[in-house]
This record gives sequence, structure tokens and C-alpha cells, in this order.
Amino acid sequence: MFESRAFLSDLPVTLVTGYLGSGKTTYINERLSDAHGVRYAVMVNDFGELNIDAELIAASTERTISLTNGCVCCSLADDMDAAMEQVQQLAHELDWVLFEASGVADPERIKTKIEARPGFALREFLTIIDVTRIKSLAQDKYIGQHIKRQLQLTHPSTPDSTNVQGIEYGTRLSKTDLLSAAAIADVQSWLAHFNSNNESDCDDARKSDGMPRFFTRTVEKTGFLNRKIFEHWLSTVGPEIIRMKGFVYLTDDNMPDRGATNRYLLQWVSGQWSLELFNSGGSETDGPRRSRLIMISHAPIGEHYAQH
Amino acid sequence: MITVFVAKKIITMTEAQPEATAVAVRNGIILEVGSLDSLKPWLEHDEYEIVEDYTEQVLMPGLIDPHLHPIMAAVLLPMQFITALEWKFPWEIVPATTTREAYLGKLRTSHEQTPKDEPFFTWGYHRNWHGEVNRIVMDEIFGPRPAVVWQRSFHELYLNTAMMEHLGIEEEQVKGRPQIDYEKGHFYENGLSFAIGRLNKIIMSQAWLGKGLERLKKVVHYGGQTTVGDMAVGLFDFNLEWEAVENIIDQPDSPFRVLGVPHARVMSHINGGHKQGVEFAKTLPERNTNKFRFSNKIKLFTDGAFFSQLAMLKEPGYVDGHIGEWLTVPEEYEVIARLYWQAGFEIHVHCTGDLGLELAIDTLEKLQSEQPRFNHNYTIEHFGFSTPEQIHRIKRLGANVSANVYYLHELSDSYGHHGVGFERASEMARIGQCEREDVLLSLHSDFPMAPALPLNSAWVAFTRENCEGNIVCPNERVSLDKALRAITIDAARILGLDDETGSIRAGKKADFVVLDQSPYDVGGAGLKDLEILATVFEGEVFPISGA
Repeated sequence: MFESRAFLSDLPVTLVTGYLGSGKTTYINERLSDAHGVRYAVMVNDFGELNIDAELIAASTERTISLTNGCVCCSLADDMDAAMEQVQQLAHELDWVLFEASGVADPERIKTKIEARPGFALREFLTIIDVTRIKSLAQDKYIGQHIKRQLQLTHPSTPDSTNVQGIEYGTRLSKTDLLSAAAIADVQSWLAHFNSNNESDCDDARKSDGMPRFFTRTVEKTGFLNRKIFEHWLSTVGPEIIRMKGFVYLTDDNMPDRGATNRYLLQWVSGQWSLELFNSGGSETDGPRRSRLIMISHAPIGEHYAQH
Repeated sequence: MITVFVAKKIITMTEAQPEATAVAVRNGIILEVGSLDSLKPWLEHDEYEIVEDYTEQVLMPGLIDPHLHPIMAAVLLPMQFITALEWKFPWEIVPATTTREAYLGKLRTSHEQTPKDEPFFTWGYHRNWHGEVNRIVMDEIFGPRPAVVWQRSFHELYLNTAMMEHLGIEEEQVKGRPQIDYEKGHFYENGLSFAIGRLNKIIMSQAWLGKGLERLKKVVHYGGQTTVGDMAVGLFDFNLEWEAVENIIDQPDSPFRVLGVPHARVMSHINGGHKQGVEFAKTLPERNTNKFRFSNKIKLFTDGAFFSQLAMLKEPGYVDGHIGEWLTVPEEYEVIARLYWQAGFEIHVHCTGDLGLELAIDTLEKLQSEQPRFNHNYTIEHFGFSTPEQIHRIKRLGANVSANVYYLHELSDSYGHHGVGFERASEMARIGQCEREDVLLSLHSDFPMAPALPLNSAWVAFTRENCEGNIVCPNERVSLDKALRAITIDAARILGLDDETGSIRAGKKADFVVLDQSPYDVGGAGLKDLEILATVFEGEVFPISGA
């Protein structure tokens, strides 16, 4: 469940772990190309490997590339703190962080690092497993300990551990086309050993499908909204929505004046929300008042949200 | 014009003529070492002056610390040192402060004695001696002045209310975060990096670093050093570091030269790939000046920090079962090392644990079989934990060791109790075997991780006495001669500067340190108490004030 240490303004983070060549970048590329309006901050070790279409690049520096769709790619470049600081500066323009752990990061340590960081909240933890290599990697002289640690963490031995901290765990098998079905089954049963204390298998079945996909819906409206009506609408948003964020133009009884001072930043996380007066972007308030919210869910989002 | 230095004894650190009484110098180069009598052929051909200030003293080659970090030192040195161990600086000797009362008293007087319009920083706090010092205590002492109390290990700090306001750290941002205690103003481990991100605007500013580097100059001089290695240029910011060192250290008043060894990972990042990084590293010597240079050396890393118990260990690992950390993915280490090996670079690799060392040795063995090289100077840096079998391999593969023996002085006791058990804790820095197998060995401080005092390092290497006063694993001590070579000629060999410095012979730079007594007379146990009166850098005398 949602814990007190997390704040509505925290950027949710998906931590993607896995050894070199397991397919972390492929996964991140998939999420990026399938963004549907979610503005991702992608934090990777090397952005050379991302499929970034040159036409999509709005601006770039040594360490960041801003895309025209609102996403930002940020190089970790050995300095995770500096990179997180950079992303934090842009936080109000971003919805979600995809964080690529280095191939041998101790997952516990990197998890603590993200959790300790003001402005970020770890929500998803995905381990990508190259089925052709995982068994030999786990025996590797240098990195066997880390690989086993990764597998243990992704297959938590206590059934509740996925939910206690509001973190969703998952694994995804890659390169399955290179092995026979029998060989894959063999790897899967081997993987299950890392879950030895866990009696229930159905949980594993769910997890080994990988991270649930995101479903998103953007809700837009031109002109001012009445605050009371808007708050009522917020109360109707169902539990399937895990996050909602965006700017809205509101009028309320205390502020009948339709000046430039009523743009709000909405932060909505699992039923808790905040509205913060946010007037920094001068040019936006001069143009048409266009409220825009993005809703993110792991389940399809009903049409009815857009109709109000 | 020839300058002749006459001394009670000159210890040359050469095997051919280990001792002398006079040395002639012209244009910073040694013409001859011998006696006033033997120098005659030179003195008959040119004007000369005789320096007689040191006739009762002893000259040795200028000392060498092949591995320290000027920029890290520059961040630390402007702070007020208040610590439980004594620190000797050229500008003050900081006495040990071992009680809470004394600590709070020192905080108050330091606060009074420093400009109130500047933020206050102190380093060296430790709870075991100084009790709890938190935001509430600091607010009472410092009032509206922003203040930072930095813990001795660097891994935690406390901020007072004024500093939190100054940095824009608000309660709702940090409250309830792990490793941050807002009420106490306490930031540690990951919380620390958040605080440092904010403090950077102060401690990475030009003014701060400038002050720190000025102090570093004095520290290096005070330790009797005429050559140091900056063993990872780019640790914070490559261009900023280059500029800072060039502007402040590469000046006439600096009595030493700096050999910069670039950080391979940084070379790759700023040039967009490992291959491009290698090409860029090749061009660095083009900008060399006499006092700040690059050569064909490169710095790589295997495993994590020794002080944080992040060294990668072979079986049986740490007592509590935690595992260390790879700073470079092993597969990637091999790729990067191969590129530099094939380009003819000399690789210096940071290794702290025996598994980190294993990766470095295995990789060297592979590279040697692919493309054999002699005189490659592949050097193991730090050399925390190792096995006897690994030293055999180091010898057979022709690698060197540059050891931080301060680990053993400071940590052998606590890592025995809390870390790896006593057998392995006592055998950290296995330098005795390096001597038995004739592995080329240097000693370094990794300053600011340990005091930049080579004679102190040599004392630890000779005695293996730790901070508790115990002798740990006496079989791994080195001889006095090996210890002294490790801070002079052998350190020069490891830096690839042995044709230029590290011993006193005709043709080398006139780099000397002036001591009150001969280290061979006082013996290894007396090394740390030798008095350094002056250094000579390229023939020019730089007295040590207060000595």
C-alpha cells in the first residue's frame, strides 16, 4: 500500500535490472515507442543504444536528450546522483521514470538508493532474464553472487513483499526464440528454486509474464473548469488508475477572477491527490486555457473518463 | 652556475653508490653525486656556490606519492578539522579531540574564529568520541550561520536549520526518507548524496576549490613530496579538474610535479565510446607542461570502496553475508582493458577485494596470451585483500603493486570484529610477500583517505602497527629498504618517471627531501618521527616553515 514517505509529487520509477545483453534496452525502447502520451524520463547507462529517431530529438546536451513527445533521456554516466538531480529539476514536466540498472548492480542497494531519494518513488521492479545465459551466469566466478541476488529479489520469498512497499515485482524472459520449449521449461523450473519459501505458484505465473503493460488515456479540455465539479469528477476516478498528472485551469467560488493565476498542477496517486497553484509557465497562460491530464493504469481505461 | 648541496649524508637510493656527502646541480639537473672532492672536475669548469645549510642534515630523493586525489582533497581541506586523531598540517597541528565537551568547545571557538558571513564546515566528527551532535545542538552554537558537521568517514553529515534553509531543503521533501533524519539534520549514505548534490554549489565552487588546492600544495610539500600521481583525473569533472590543477598547482610556487592518470570511464563518456576514449587519452600529453602532465597511463576500476566494505570478496566473503560491488561490469572491464592494452597504455587498476584482484589478474593473463608485452607496468592500486596465490600470479605476469597500507593501520582491528574475521583482516596489504617475490611495490596515501605523509606510510609498512597499537601479521612486514624504495625509486618506476626522479644520480632532476636524521640510523620504527626540514625541487630549495 501507499506509504507515508511517498509524496504525491514523487515521480514513479520502474527499475529495470538484468545482466549485459539481457534486453533491458529493448524493453525500454518498447515502452518509449509505446508511450501513448506518458512523458518518460529514461535513465540509462548509455544512450547510444536507444532507438532514438533523429527527427524526434528536440534538444540534446552531453547528458540529456529531450524528445519532441515530452520524454527525456538521461545518461547515468557513473553519476546517478547528478542524473537524478537533473530529472528532478524537470519533474513537473514528467510522468514516469524508467531506470536502467547497470548489469551488476546489487538490486537491494539500488532500490534503497531510489527510495532514499526525495522526489522519486519506486513502483515497479523488473528483472529481465536471458534464458540462454542465466544458468551459466549464476555460476559465474565474478558475478554469480549478484545474479543470484537479483533473482532472489525478483522472486520475493514472502508472498506479501510485493505489496508491502507498494512495489510491483516482475520478471521477463528474453531470447526465448533461441531455445526449445523444453529448455525454456527447464530454465523456468530452475528459476522457481529462487522462490523456495513460497508455496504458491500462481503468483509466479503472474510475475513471469513480465511487467503489466501501461494503458493510458489523455483527457483534454479547453477553457476553465469549475473546481467543485472537477473535484467531484476526481472522486469518481476508479482504483484501476494508478497515476494521473497534468495541468488544469480552474475557477472556484473564492476566485471568480479569470486572470492568469489559476493554473493548477494535479498530482494523483492511487486515490490521493493534490492541486497546487502553478503559474510558472507564462506563455501557456496567455494562450488558450487548455487543461490536459494523463491517466495511467495497468488495465484498459474506460471511455467514460473522457466524456466529462 | 652550479649549486652544490653538502650534507652529513646523502642517501641516493641507488645500488651502485648508496651514500654520498655532496651533490652538484645545474639548471635543475644533477651533475654528479659524490663528495666535494669528487665533484672537482665540474667545479673547475663553471662558477659554483655551496649550500651549507644542511651540513648536519640528511638528503634523500624527494618523496613520491603515486596515488592521491587533488580535487577530493581540495573539497575537504578548506574545512575546520576537529578529529579524534591528531592531524599534522603545515598551517596547524590539529590536536586530538576525544571528548564531547572538548568537541563542543572546539566547535564554538572555531565558529568564533572564522568569518561569520561564510558558511561553517567541519570535518572529523565521530560519535564514539564526540557523542551525538545534531541539528538542535548545532542551532544552539551557530544560530543563523549555516553550518555542516561532516563525519570522519565522509559517509554522513549533519546540517543545521540555517544550512537547510540556505540549501532549500524542506521538511516535506525529505521527511520519512530512509537515511535522512530531518529532525536531527542527519544525512547518511544515500541521504548523503542528496545533501551533497545541494552542497556542491558551495564546495565545488571555484573559490572553494581554489582555497583547497592552495592548501593541498602546502600538504604535499609538508610531506616531503616532489612528485605525486593524480590517480583518476576526471573523478568529478575532467575539464574543471584540468583547469584547476593547471591554474593553481602548475605555478612557480609549487615544489612538485603532478602526473595525471585519466579515468578511463570518463574518457569514454566524454567522447562517446571506449574506442574514442582511447584515442582521446592518446592526445592528452600534447598539453603537458613541466609540472602537470599526462603519459601513456590509464586508470581503471574493478570493485567497490574498501572503507564502505564494498570490496568484492572470494569465498568466504563477509561475516554478515553481504556482498560487495563491481564498479565495472567484469565483461566490460576486459573489453576496456584490452583496448588500452593493445594501444600500448600502462593500466593502473583500482582493486580492493581479492575477487576484484582476481578479475584484474585473470584479465592480465588473457591479454598477455593474446598480445604479450614486457615492461607493461600493469599496476594493482590499493591492494586491500589478496591471497598468497594471487601474489605468485602477479609476479609471474609482471604486474606491480601500489598499496594503501593505511587500510591496515586504520581498519585491521575493526574489520576483524565487524567485517571479514581476524585472519583476513590481519593480512590486508600483503606486502611482505611482495618483497619476498620481488614484486615492484609502491606505497600511497589515496589522500584525503589517509594522511599524505609517505614516511608515515613507510612506517606502517615496516611495523604493521595499527591504530590500536597492535602489530598485525608481522610476517607481512617489509624491510626498511623496501619501504623506503616504495616511496622513492620504486614509486617513480611505477609512475614511469624513474628516468627523471626517485633517486639521486647524475642526469636526474635535483629533487630532494632534507631530513634531520638518516632513516637507516633511526630504523623503521622511527620513520614517522623524522623531521622534514625542506624539499628541493629541480634544484630550488623550498623550506618547510615551522620545521
